[in-house]
Amino acid sequence: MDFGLPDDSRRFLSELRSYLDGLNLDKVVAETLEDDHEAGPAGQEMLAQMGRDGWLGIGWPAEHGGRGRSAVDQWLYLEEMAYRRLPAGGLSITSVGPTLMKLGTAEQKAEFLPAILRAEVRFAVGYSEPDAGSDVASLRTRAVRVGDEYVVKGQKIYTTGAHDCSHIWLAVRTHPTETRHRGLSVLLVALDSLGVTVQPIYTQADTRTNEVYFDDVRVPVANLVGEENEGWAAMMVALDFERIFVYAAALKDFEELVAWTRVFPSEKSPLIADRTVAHRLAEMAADLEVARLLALRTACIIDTGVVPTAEAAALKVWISELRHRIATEGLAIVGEHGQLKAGEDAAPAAGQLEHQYRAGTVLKFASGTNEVMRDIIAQRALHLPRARALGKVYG
Amino acid sequence: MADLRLDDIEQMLRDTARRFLRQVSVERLLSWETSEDGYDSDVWSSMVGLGWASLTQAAEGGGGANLIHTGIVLGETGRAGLPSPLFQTLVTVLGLTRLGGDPAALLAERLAQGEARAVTVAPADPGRLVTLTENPDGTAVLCGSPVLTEWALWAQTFIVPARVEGAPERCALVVVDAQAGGVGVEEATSFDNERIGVVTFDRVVVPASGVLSADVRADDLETMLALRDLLRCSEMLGGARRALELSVQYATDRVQFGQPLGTKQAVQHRCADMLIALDGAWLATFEALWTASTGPASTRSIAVARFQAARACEQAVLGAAQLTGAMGFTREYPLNVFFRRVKAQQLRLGSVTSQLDSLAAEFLAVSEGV
Repeated sequence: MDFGLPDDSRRFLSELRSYLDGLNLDKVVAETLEDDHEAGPAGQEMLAQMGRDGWLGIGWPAEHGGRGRSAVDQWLYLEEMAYRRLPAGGLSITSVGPTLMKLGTAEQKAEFLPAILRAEVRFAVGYSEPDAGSDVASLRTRAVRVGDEYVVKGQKIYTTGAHDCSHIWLAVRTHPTETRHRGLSVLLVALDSLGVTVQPIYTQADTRTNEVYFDDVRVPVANLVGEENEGWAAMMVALDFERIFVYAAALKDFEELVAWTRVFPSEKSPLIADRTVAHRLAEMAADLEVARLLALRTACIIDTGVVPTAEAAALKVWISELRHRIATEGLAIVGEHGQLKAGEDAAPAAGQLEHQYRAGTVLKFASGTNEVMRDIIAQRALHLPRARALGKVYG
Repeated sequence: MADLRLDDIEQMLRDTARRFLRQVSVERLLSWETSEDGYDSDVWSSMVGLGWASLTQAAEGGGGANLIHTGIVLGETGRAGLPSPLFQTLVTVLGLTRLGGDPAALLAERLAQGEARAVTVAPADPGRLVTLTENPDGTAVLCGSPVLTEWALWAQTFIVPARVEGAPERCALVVVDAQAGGVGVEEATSFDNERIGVVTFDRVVVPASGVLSADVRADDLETMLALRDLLRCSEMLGGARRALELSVQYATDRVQFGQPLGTKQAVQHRCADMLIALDGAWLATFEALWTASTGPASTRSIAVARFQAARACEQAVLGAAQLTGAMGFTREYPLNVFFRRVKAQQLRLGSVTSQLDSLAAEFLAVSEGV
């Protein structure tokens, strides 16, 4: 058992820190404070710059323009970016790119991988539909092959980032009669294709997600990922690369909360001097340490060549619930001033408590709801029995 | 490279311990609990023979003890629910090794070989330690309010960490014969299956040779007591893990409404939450053990481990009590042993208030009692 970081990882981290210290990122941070799910214009500019300087694709192999570093180093990188409230390229870097390396054609690799590392190609993920949420295998968007093209018809929803991404990683039904997991395919679709309509959906956090309509959109067959009708396997590979969830954004929220309790209502008699307040903060600090350890464990498992299923689910549950709890309990500690909206000068902790109170609920159901995560833990790690199909239980 | 899995040696140690402890059935546990001695001396001799009592001795070549190995073995005795003087012996050997001089090392060696019986007398709260008053002739006098001490009646010798009267930054490590004048040992009953005594020092005169070290830094002593807590966490986590295993077994075997209980999402999610909490506490505990084995102990890591283990283990046994229902409530089903032990061990770590005070001091730079 070894909890230590190798010297080489420490060197890598300090190089990254000096590099980031040299950039002027105030605008990017301001964007993240408003919406930390997608990079805004300044964030995209930063990512393009980082791509040019070789600071994207940390875990990508050298042959695809990456640094070929370990999962632990990739995790450290993502934590550093999150702690500074910077976007890190999202799923295009961590999931879509690596999946294409594994399943993509030579042409797809040549077309997409360098463009992802230049931050010119950014993927939104098109899984959810109005009637297919957690049960994604029930999706109905159809793709019919006509010659060298698929003709896509249907609707996706809650497609976060679709309005400023270039492409969508789109799950469609390609087999006319197969149902559920069989007969699905994954297509790489340019969002400026004829027949794609992106409509905004605004959220309680003043952030934007989207509905995306596909009205006989023509997609070259060359943009099929893996085999036709084997899309479920491609979706699972993409999911396997989506296992690291970072805690440093929650740590930053926490530190800002603590800083605020040291000066409010006055430095002479601050909130933190109240033992009850200190104890609630202390508990959060201890829970953040566990978040760090669960993340480290997940990255370490990936480095052994194993996909951490239940361990990643535990990490996701812990971090998402902790981050929202810091916001919720943080506001409870703050009291009356907590009602001030982000952007108000007197809003505590740069307004992040109230913003995360509104925005953070999404963490607990996005990327697999925490209920599904707990199912996974119970069935994969503890081997509890699965329920029989509903019809049999009640029939 | 960071790797949080057990390495080959650690795994072998765990497997050997688990195999050896298979003989510990619930029937034997309950019979030891009502027996005169409270433990099985044959099992204890075998444990000493396996080298378990020497795990906290300094490593050959002068390095510190391998506390990960210690934590692994204690995790297994905890998982078995075994009452024994092992924990006290390991803590006492560790204290003698870290804080005492050469005579202490000799005594530690005898304890590690099972040739002597000694326990550490120190309350959970370092503020309530026994006081030592030094005389000009080198002798000293011990005074202190009663201290709840595991396996006090089993011991021939007490190792007493004490505050030195008039020297706030200085502490001492003292060895006292259990039969010495002024030493009181009363039997008391705890609600778990460990044996407890109440030890009182009423103006106990200690000869110069009994003061093993008279200039222990207060910080070093507090770190030593924190390490005691950390080892207790590893044992407690073993018991809580067993409670989860029993729950999963029960939920898999027990059929109601035509299906195993474990198919229900309410049951699965409770088990998942127990596992997440235990894994988190286990990682925190073993990170702190690793740190203390490879360099100076981190009181911050220990504060995290203590709080997490105390909370997670309680969550696990309370969850298990709900999941196993009436069966789990009975004496014949093993859960009750772990249900009782985990809570008693948690209480031996001190109050939740003191745990949160430690965390606040470590993370928020807020001193206690502000």
